[in-house]
Amino acid sequence: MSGPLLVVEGLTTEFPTRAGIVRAVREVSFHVEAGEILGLVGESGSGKSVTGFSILGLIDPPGRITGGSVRLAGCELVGLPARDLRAMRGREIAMVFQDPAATLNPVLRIGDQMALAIHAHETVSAAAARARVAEVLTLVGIPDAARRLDAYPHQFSGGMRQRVAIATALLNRPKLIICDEPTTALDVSVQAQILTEMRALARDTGTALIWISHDLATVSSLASRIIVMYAGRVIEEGPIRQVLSAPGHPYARGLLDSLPAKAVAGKDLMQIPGAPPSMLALPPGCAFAPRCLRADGACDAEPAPTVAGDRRWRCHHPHAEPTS
Amino acid sequence: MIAGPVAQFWSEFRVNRVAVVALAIVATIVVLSLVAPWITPQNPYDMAGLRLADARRPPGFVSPRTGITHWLGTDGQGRDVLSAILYGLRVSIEIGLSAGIIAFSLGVTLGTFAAYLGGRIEALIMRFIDLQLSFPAILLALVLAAVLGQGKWQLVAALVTAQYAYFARTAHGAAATERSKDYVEAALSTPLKPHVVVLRHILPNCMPPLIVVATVQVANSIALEATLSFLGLGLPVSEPSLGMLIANGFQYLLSGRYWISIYPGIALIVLIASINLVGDQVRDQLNPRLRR
Amino acid sequence: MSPAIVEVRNVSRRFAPTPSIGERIAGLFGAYVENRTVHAVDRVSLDIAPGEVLGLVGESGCGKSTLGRVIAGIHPPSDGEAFIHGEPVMGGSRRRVKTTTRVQMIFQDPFGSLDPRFRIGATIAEGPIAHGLIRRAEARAEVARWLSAVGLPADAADRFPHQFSGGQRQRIAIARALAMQPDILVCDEPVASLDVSIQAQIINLFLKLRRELNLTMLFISHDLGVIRHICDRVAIMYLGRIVELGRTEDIYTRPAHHYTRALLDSVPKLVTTGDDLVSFRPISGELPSPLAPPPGCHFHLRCPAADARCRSEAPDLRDLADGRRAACHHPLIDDRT
Repeated sequence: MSGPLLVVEGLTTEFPTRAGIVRAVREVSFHVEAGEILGLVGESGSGKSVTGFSILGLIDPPGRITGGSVRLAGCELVGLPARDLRAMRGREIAMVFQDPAATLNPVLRIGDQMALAIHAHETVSAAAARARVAEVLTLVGIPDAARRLDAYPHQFSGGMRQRVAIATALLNRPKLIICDEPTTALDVSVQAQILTEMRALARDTGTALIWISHDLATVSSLASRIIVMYAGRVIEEGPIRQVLSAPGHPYARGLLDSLPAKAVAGKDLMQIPGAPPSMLALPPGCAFAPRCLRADGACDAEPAPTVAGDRRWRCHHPHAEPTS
Repeated sequence: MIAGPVAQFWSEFRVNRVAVVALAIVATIVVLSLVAPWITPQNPYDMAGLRLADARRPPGFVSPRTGITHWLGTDGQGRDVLSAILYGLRVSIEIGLSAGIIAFSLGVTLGTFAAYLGGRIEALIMRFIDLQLSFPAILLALVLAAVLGQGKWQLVAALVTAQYAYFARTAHGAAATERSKDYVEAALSTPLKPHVVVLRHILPNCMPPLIVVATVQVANSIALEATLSFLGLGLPVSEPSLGMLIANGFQYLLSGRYWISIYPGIALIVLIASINLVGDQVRDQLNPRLRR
Repeated sequence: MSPAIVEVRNVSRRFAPTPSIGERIAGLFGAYVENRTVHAVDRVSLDIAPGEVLGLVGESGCGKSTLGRVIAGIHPPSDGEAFIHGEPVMGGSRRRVKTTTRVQMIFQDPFGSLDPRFRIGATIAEGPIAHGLIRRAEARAEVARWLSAVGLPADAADRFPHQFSGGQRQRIAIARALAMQPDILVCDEPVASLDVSIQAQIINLFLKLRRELNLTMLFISHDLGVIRHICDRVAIMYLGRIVELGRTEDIYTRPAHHYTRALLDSVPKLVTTGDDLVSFRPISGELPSPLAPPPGCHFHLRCPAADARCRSEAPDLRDLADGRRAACHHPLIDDRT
């Protein structure tokens, strides 16, 4: 069967806290095709990172997935025993985090710790593992990779460390890599290098990417489809050019219009009033309504997703009319 | 006005029942020991009021001579054990608290000063403190108590010397962390005077770990004082603290007259355990890693 | 041009970690001890005119924050001097302390820059009271005035920092700086840690304050889009040196230094039409370590136009056409001639 690679349906993840239950991800549904780059955009607290962690089953108790399903190539991941999830992680889906320093073990040589990631999933000779490590390091643009296998993480710059993290994710040739703000901590010149390499990688290896970011410009030059999240929900989804040229949801539109690139230098930027709601005290109905200029009485009820062709949004008063 | 940090702290503290009970016990003990002269049936320091004929009587004994009911019995000199415990607590708390306060002030001043100044002075102060911390506190206190001789203030001096280093090291660590934070740079770039920055901004923000150390150290100095008194290096026999009461009863323990040693022992354990339970909750509440 | 408010003259700032005792002993026995002195700022000079907003751009480790802190009087310069109205920012000779209140600073992290134990009102009023700018009795009214200037209600004065969001805290930090009635505001990445939808609000606040108070600002950022939006002039830094200085629009449309051009090209732009547009071009090579910058022009290892001269001789910042200054032997625009 040649359905989508990843299907997420009605995913809900909750974290009990002293002050009440935080529903960080609320009934999130989307899919990822094989070899596709999907951009997942939102502000802090929108649930975009928690969505990524939920797919991998990396939610720490007391937080847990309370509903929905995540199917990878038809295989259900929610409710899978911990050891099956571990076996799947790295081989089927891998993750790259924002802070590369936190994911590398400072006392292990780069080559050795990457080889461990191979040995976790298959039995290969040390020499073969080393050769594969050198191969993926070259793939992510680390010059003279074979010679740098014996270096320690601290001998690498931030950009190089992030490349190592990406290379580690690639080691077992997963079908999907979830990248959580992988270039946010990096300088623009390094970010550009990594973006270029990721795009080439996805094209050449056929690996699908979920690219989680708050930066619309970065996503726009990488992804083919985009999902925008707000207060734990997907509020807009669609092909990236269509969404960015004519966003349907007022929040997506507000985000785009508030970019300095959209304004005349020195003139006021378009701004979204107010601040994102506390996840402990979400407004009833549409969570964006208190900040929305188009909101009216209808917005007290939660809007259902409107589907129009490839596009989807949750809004009672969208900017663009659905066209197919 | 909006609830300040203190009110917020209390609302979180209240959740832990054990800690609340412990705090209530500490408060009760402190109050009881404070009002001891007015509620005890006997003044145990008044040698003239003691009857040797009433010595070593079991709990519940009613003296035909004085008419006093000795709920916890009497000791080798005919002292009412309950009165002796309350007076002894008074001495123990007084010494523990004064030693704690003096050690706190001395240690915090040294530690903060070192962290703010940096460089050679910091290295000198902190290395000396590290050196001192490498000796067990009890050893230092023993040597000092022996050298300084008996007496309340000699004992306090010994306890302070044994304990100020813990405060200094904690204060130094906390102050060095706060020193590098943006709000301190903001205060310095206003510019506010350095001593204002240290006293108004750095020091109050170093308090959480220091309060934790302080609770534990007051309990420790009470225990240390009891140890020294037990070994005969503490206060004069005429003003027995809890440690000395335990020591006095020790010789009768095996002859079945358990109450002379056991009740002061229980009082000491309850006090120290309660302070530590309160301290544990305070530490958990102030530990940023355990917070949401 | 009117006389400058801020004059930075040949300022250098070095950070030399004190060697540990072990290293010192090893050094006594003739062992090689690595020199870890970082030239965070290397002989920088610049002026800021009254009412001007100067942008300071560069990648991490280029020294932009350090230069900002020297101008704001947090770090004393190792060499050279920063002046406000002709007076040095730092007084004293041996242990140097900041003496002027004419320059105030806004920090990147609004969660770290406010004392968590101070109510907002006390935070804002502390400096002005300490310096006699206002009397204690006037504090409440003064605090309310500045809170309203940054778009916060007067009752915010009674609350604590943890009761505010990141954007609101940044507003409070701005109010605290403004209450000192400075002539110049040094803003170190003031929107970098804020959410996208909040960034626009704070940028608009800066624009409004600038219009109303005729503020002079040094605006430090790595975000080229934000800099372009609010700055009159821009200085580009690379490994401790200013490589280009000029009017914002000129620099963005016709960069003179090869690094400036490469930096501008490497920023992804918002692509809304077409398929797979290459919206950015990475700079080749890696940023060298600030501990051991390459000799000559620091950028020569990554520069397409580098020749033998660039490898040995560090270019000075010199005047080019249209009032531009660049430190390059082979600039992309003409000489002034």
